Amino acid sequence: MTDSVLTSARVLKICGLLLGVLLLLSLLALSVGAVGIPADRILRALAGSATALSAQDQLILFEIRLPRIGLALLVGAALGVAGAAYQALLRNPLADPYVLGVSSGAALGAIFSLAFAERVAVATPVAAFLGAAATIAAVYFLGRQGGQIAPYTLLLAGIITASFLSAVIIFLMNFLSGRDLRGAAYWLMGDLSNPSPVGLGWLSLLTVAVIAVIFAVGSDLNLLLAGEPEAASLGVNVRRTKLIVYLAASLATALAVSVSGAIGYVGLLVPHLVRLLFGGDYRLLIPATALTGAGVLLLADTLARVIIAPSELPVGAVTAVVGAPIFIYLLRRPRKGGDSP
Amino acid sequence: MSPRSSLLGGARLELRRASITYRQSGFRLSPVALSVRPGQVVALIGPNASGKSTVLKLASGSLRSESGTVLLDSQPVAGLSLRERARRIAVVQQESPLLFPIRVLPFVLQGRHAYLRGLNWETPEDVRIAERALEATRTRHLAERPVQELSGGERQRVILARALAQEADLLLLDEPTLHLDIAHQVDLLRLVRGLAREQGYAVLLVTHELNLAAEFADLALLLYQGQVVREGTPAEVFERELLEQVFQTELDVFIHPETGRPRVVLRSDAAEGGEPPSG
Amino acid sequence: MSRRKTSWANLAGLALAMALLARPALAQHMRQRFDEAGRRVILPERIERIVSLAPSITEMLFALGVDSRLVGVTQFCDYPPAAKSKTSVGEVINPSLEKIAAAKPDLVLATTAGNRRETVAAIERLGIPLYGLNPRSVEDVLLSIRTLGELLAVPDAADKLESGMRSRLAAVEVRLAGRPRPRVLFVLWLEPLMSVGRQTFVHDALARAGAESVTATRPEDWPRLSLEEVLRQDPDYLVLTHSPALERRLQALRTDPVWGSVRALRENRVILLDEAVLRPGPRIVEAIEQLARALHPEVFLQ
Repeated sequence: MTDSVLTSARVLKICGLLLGVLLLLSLLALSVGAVGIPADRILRALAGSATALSAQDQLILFEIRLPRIGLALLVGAALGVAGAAYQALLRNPLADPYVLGVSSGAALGAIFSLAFAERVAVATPVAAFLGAAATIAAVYFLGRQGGQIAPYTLLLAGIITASFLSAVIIFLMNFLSGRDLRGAAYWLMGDLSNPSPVGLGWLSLLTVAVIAVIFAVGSDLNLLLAGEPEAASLGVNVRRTKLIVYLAASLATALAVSVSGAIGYVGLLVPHLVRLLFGGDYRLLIPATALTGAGVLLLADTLARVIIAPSELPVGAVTAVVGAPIFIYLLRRPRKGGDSP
Repeated sequence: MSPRSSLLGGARLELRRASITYRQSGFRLSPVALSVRPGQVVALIGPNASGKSTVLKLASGSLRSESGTVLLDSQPVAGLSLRERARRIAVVQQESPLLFPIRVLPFVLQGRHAYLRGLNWETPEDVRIAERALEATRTRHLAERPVQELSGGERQRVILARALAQEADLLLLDEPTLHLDIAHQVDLLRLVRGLAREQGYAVLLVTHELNLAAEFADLALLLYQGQVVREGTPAEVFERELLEQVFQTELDVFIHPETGRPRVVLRSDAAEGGEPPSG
Repeated sequence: MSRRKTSWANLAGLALAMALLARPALAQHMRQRFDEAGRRVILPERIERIVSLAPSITEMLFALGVDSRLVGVTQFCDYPPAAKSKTSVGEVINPSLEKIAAAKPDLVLATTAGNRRETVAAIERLGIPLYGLNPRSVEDVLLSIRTLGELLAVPDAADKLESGMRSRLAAVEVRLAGRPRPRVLFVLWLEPLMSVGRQTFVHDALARAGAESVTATRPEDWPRLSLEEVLRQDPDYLVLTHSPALERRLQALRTDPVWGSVRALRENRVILLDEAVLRPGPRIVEAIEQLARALHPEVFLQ
């Protein structure tokens, strides 16, 4: 078959390639940090040798770096896929996972828990997730028209909700004590330095499940991009597809934001990067964006960890500094693809 | 592409007193009776907001009729699943703008969506069907080009190719010639008529272009304010007084000497004796 | 046959290593405490290696004479000067977990006046004992010193430090007896204008220095004030910490129409204190003395 027709073989090939790159990046990230640990020892320790590293180096490797890398991979994948999905759902190439207010709802939940549930560390991600879930529901009901999701209305509903929630957040932050304020600031910037109190196992299960759901409706998304009436006449259940994508993408965002705060630019830019490299067919875009998003965030976080060692930057600062110029470039470059301005 | 076997001589599409009212605007389409046979081209004409697109939407099943029924090969359209509908009814309509670049072949392959199984990967057979659709619309040479780079006429033919890839029996077209110059308009409709005649498509066409309808349609229905006010062959429908009343403008209707089909012509000011302003 | 034995030995060794790795804390004799933030802490009886996550804590440890056991400090631990030569584990807000772990501490000390809850949770999760301080008053600081003395097995040094501080505080209190209390605004930050609330140790220090803080009614730690509020409160003095930038800005504000009508600024009743006033540590007493002298110069003539 000709090049422009996507086959499962091509998807597998590209994802295999990306997976390989990802593994290399992970190894690199494992060997880098405030404490130097030689790479060959790391490999031996990973292979099961109990003597390759000292107990404290093992602690650092397995309890600090590995969970953090895992978290970066999951959050990066979730944000990338959510961004790609929203771009199709809202028919807007500039959509990112936060445009529908999910992160503001999560932030509100997190700040609530910081202010009122002092002792319990796990309360913050749970409260953040609940806040996000409530926002997802509210925006859905606000953004409906004629019983189904209307992209334009949804976008407006999301922006208005996000703005309202931000105001409430600023109001609440007034009542936070000094140290919680610092915590809130980090959360708002996006930060991976706190290991998720929710087990990584559960988190990966949920994230992969949600990504799989979006992947399953990939070809529907392709047609949806051509326009809703067109998709409908070509056999797509438009209403159902929109709802599934909305829920799955919002859940992915909620999961990511609950454990890491609002890390910016990943959900917006990685889908475009993947489109540039591999084309815009969603059956490839979704898995490729998951893998690329994971890699990009891992790189950013690794940079955040080492660039001013032993201090650390919040990863959101790195993605913003690198992402903003890329974003501006994307906005300004001569449009050779797409009709819309 | 062989047409699905149907009742010989029976109607493919039939609207039996189908009607609908738009709740928001209050626009009401009065019960419409209409039938399209395989091989026939039926045109819906009328001024803006006369209900032409509404009839088309009832025919495609995207709107549900409030009264009467809409039948496809004697089966109610409302009872068909979305996939089944996509395999039997193809719609060519006003295109939404494309957000991301896509090449012609994958674009036309979208027409095969209703036939995909499992995880939705196109088979080589699907690709062959898409290529045949490109050939039928004489766009095969554009297969690897981005759709965004095509001219208006090429683009419209590619959209038609996508509809053909659906291997449907009924072809519904909503203002397909809207942004095309006259050469491409004629080209497209000639293509459509050819598809009807040679492949057995039943074609229902909504158009503003009275003369194109006159030339290419076997039957025409004239709509005015939600009602069918005349139906029949173009010669029967294109009656001067009726047209003037419906379109609220002064016209002449002539018969083309060679084809025998009517032509609608604007009445110019000069015939009335109007003079250009001097100076 | 021997091959089988070896592999069993390997498995046993691996299991043992993993057991040790999983619970390194079991190696020593442990005790339980509740820290000042109400957390349950399990820490070893003998503490040989300490990591401090705040400058105030570092100062306390040096003052207690246990600085030889200090294996990790923050980048901002600058007093006494010897502290700067200790290994840094990063910032107060976001220290490096790796560096902390690499220092192999028996105990990490943190404070609510500077460290994030998330940092504490992360260190906890690594199985490293962390004791948190929560200084809400000068008395709290004194009690912290006593607690640290007990935890680190230097009760005599702690006692000496504490009683030294208490007698100096008492001396100030005696001199201030019966004196009227000037009303002060403690300027933590100028733009936006932020002060200290009643639940902070700074507020308590102000009180002990014979002042009455105009933000005494505010429950937040760092209340923000409007200029209107400042004019309404009309403090007798403005109190700031030494910072050339802050002082310059304040001087520039004298020409501002609104700031210019703040009586304390107009009459140049601005008191500059050592930054120690912001550290809940041994030098808070010096800061209190400094402020008391500035507010009540008459009773401190000696």
